[in-house]
Amino acid sequence: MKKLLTKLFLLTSVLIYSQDVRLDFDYSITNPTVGDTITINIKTVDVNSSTPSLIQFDLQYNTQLVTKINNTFTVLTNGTNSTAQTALSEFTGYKWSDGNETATNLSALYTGWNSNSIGYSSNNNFNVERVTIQDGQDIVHGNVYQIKFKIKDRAAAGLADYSDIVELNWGRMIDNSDNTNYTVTSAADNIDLTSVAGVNAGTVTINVNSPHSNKDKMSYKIYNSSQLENNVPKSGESPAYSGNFDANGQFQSTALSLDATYYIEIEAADGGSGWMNSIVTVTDAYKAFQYAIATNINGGSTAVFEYVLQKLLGDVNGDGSNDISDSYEFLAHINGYESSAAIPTATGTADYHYAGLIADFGVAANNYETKVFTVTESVKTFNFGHAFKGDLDFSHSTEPTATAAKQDNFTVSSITNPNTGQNMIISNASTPDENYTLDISSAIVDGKVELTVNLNTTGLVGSQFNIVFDNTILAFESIKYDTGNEMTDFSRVQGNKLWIGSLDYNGQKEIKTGTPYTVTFNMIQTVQNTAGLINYTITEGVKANGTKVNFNIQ
Amino acid sequence: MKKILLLTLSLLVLGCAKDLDYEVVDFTFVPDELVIAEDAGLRLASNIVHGNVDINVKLPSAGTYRIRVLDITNRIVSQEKIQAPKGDNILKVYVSTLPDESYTVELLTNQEELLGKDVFAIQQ
Repeated sequence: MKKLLTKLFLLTSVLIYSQDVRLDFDYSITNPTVGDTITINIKTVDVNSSTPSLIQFDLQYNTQLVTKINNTFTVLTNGTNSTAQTALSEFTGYKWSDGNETATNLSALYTGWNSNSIGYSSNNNFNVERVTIQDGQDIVHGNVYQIKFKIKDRAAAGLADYSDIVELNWGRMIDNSDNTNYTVTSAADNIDLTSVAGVNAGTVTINVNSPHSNKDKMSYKIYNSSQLENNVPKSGESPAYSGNFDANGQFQSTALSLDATYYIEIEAADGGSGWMNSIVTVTDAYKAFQYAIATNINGGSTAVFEYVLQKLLGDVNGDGSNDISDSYEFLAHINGYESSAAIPTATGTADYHYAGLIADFGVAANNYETKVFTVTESVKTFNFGHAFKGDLDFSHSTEPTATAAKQDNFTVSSITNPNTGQNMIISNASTPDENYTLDISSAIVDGKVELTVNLNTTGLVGSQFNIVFDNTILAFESIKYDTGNEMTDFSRVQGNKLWIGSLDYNGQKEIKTGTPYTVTFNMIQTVQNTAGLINYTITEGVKANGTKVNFNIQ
Repeated sequence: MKKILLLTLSLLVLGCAKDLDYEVVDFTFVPDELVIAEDAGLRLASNIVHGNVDINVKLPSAGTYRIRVLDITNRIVSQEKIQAPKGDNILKVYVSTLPDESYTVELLTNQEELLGKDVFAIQQ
């Protein structure tokens, strides 16, 4: 508004002068971007039957905002003044001041400069060009001079905008045949550029709010807006920027531009440590079963996940529903089978990653994950959520924070399994984990190696033990369960891996305390002790209400 | 003939001598790199381990003890219970199934009183 009033004032001021001729800029640029070329024509516009044969003016440009490419005396190609005399003098490191004169009254500015009341001072950020055109005949009104600039990144100079990139300092026009000195004005004596794209944003910070300790194994791929189609990267596009987050789940970039829009993909890789095997565990499997068995014979379900995103995470077979077939995929996974490619494993690809701006992460109306973000002067930090398929308890995934990400009808105490009549608290991700003490150890007993799990706490409806043993020394012989008569137990041996566990997916039976699991190995090589021969990679339990239990091994 | 007579005479003399009493004492050879000066403790033969490493577990008395392997987060990844006599016990820690990281090995009583610990790194 202020700018508009100023322009109106200037326009009014011009109108009240007894002007004869104008010296104006003529340029056009759309969607200006750093690195673009801007071509500026300077033209005379007759106002009052002026017939100049001498045109002279000073023009300055901001060297922090533009770089001069070249100049052309276009007057020579107007069809009439091809033999006009032209001269260009260039002065480096000077800046003009209008003093008390009106900026568009170029004649008055010239007069002031001649009387030394206004003028130049040294300034390394500006250069001045003095243009002189003279002919033995009238100079035809129109374009007389052209100058081209390349737009620079204002961020490098610490400037806030692209105002006054070029300015007319003064001007005069004379008819040499009768020494008529015309009053020269300008419609606008300077050029401002707005909405210039490609301005470096400085340091932009991207965070991923993942709850696990392997954030340095998470990666990002960023695409420019020009690489997108319908807000996703076009087929075959390579990311403009890519890399890994640091251990704190953060990376910083100085390559992004202000007011530019980007698309980000966030993924994760195991890296050989096996951490991705522990993403989907018995707790997730139990939650999947609890949800699925709440479906009645007519297909209706009383099950409600706490977050709408969990329906996507739980649909590991990708059939669009959360039913018993998904649950068995979970069960197969915790029993050591690579059932669904969607469930992340150390050796799998973790096909599905959900990642989006935390503000609307998991909000169905925003398609659960907003991957497009715009860097502005005031917003240079972006926080993202990330979730793995199958991670129903959010052990390694970001629990949504947006209110709209929650199920409207979710209340912990109101979910009842229609088949059992039992109250179910299946998906309250907010429930904190509990810690149980567990004694698990190996020993040599009667020439064999025994691994025993001793549990002295009640309340577990499920457990999972992923074990790795040195199969060059030990050979699996048997496993003895003492978990209770009605508990469903499972185990599997493949190579040097052993999966053991129990799960009552109805949540009605508890694992018996005592020594629920005893595993016996034969010695292939005779050893005197067993330290390190048998290692535990996952030890976890789940309570009937869906609470995850971490085992503190004693 | 002279030699046979001398041998017979020697056997007669030795056969009439008083019997010596022998006491059999268990002795565990402890290499220099595993010697523990204190009464109890734990020492590794090497702190960079490939496959397995010798370990001296010196016990204050005979009984049941625990040997634990903990990862960088102090999570117990392996635990053994041993029945062993007082003094030096040369055993092994097997690491071929562990990821290449750094670990702590601890010696505890069965009641979890810490007697010694050491840190090793795996180089498979």
